[in-house]
Amino acid sequence: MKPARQAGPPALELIENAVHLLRRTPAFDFLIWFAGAAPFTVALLYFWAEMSRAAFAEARLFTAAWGLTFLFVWLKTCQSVFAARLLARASAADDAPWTLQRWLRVLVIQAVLQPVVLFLLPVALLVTVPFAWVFAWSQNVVVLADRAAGRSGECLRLAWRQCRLWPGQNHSLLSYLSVAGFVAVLNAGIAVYHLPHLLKMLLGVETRLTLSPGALLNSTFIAVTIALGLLALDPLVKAAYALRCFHGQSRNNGEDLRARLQWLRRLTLLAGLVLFCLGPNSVRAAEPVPATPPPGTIEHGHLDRAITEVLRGASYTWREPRDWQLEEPTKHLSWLERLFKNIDQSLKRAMDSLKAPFKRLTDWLDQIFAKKGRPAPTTPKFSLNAGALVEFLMWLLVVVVAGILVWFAFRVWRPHAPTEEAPAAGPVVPDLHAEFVAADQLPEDGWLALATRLMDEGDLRLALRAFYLAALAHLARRELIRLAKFKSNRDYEGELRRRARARPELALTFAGTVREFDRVWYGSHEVDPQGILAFATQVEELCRA
Amino acid sequence: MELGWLVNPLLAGAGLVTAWLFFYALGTMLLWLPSEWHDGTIWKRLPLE
Repeated sequence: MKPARQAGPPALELIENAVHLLRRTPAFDFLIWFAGAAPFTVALLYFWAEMSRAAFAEARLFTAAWGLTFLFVWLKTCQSVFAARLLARASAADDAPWTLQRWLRVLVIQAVLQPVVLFLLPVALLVTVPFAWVFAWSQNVVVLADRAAGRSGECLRLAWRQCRLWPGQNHSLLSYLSVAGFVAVLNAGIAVYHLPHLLKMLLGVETRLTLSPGALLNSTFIAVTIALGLLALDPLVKAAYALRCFHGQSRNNGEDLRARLQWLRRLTLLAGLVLFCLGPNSVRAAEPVPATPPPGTIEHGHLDRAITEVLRGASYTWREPRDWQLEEPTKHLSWLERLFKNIDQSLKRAMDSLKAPFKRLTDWLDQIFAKKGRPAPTTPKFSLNAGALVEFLMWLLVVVVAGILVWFAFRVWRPHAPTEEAPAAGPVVPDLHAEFVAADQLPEDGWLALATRLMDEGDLRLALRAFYLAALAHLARRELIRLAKFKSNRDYEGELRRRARARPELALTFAGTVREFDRVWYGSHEVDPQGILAFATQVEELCRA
Repeated sequence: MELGWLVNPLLAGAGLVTAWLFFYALGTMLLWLPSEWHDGTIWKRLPLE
């Protein structure tokens, strides 16, 4: 087995430390990262959308590609500065100020090395095997550019040496990051998909995604989703590879020891400061206390018992050999006798553990009565016999539980006496005046019966609504539409058109029904007896179609 | 005459041209792809029935 220092920290530990490192990172560093990531992402998505659809995209391709190139180098520079600051924080080194010259050195290295990655990475992904090394190398170039003192050859060498280190760890790290990336992209996709629906629901704004759910397959939607997901994951990737580089370089320069010593020095300083603040009293408090036992000292025997009890707990005995549990005399018993003895002991232990709360209660009551001025009785005939009381209570509990079980069994298995059928409650008639009435509140026949009754009563407007709901219930029963509260009449129309494509007359009839219903229910059109009869006929035709 | 200082700018220039080539190729590929692919309706061309 390799020593931990040679094998490197496990990938999960690396990710955990990376998250911790990011939590300690000040907002300014994230601002640097964002200054590079935001313009490039926006420009890339704009480029994507432009090249996908714009009429004169070809004419603009030359300059647009140059714009993206400069923003790409800027992105890598900002990422490199961000990662270098992370590395400095991980190694607890004092980071020198970031002068313009230092920025330029990093920029030149990124401009020299990163464009190669653009071609190498897709090829490595296709070939599959070298992908982990190429990816690690590109990340190492980002992290170590600042340490190469402006020499791209030196940066290349450093990054190459680091990427060959601990390949198993690198592959595990990539696997975990891939899963995290997948989840991030999925989350971004869900958010991007639901945002327009929220806009429609809250503000009534229609967008392409709300008008056509098929836009999910749009290439720009996919590009946006992937870009947002990977953008969210990028700081974690940089932190993880910064820590990998830190551990890798520590093998040669002992940087990890220096970082630990730095922490130790800080800790010592803090401890000294705390001691100083607490003053001389605390120092005196640390002096040895004279061995005068304070009142209420724990008895020696009691302490021994308590220690033994704790040591017999499951948290200490799990490593002990099994034989210790068997007392010496039981070793000659047969396996069946030992089994019964074990059951007996387990039951006794369970009873003891159940008795303990009652014992505490009786002790507490004894203490209270003693404190009240009534001297605690010392003679057995006046004492509260806690053991007997607990035993009595336990038996009582057993009897009660057994009684409940018997009663329950009797209820379950007794022959069911014929009971009088409760009068069936009639279906609740929905209030058709209400704004939201769902078509699935009544079956199709229920709506038709209600509509007929309302027609007889002369309430034609409500009758028309009942007829319309009957039509919806009918279509839902035939699975031509799916009823939902948030859907409008137009949504149902569109859905029916899609699902009943082979029968266009059905969609046409329903469209006429919707139009008539909207005129009466939402508009100011009055409905007369002839009108309602025509509407009913239309609904009937729809049901027959 | 010492020309060592020219190495990095030249390499950076070459890197920029390489990156430009990549994005130019990406743009060309996007232009070349049919509109149905961008709209997500390319599957309609498939003989499903």
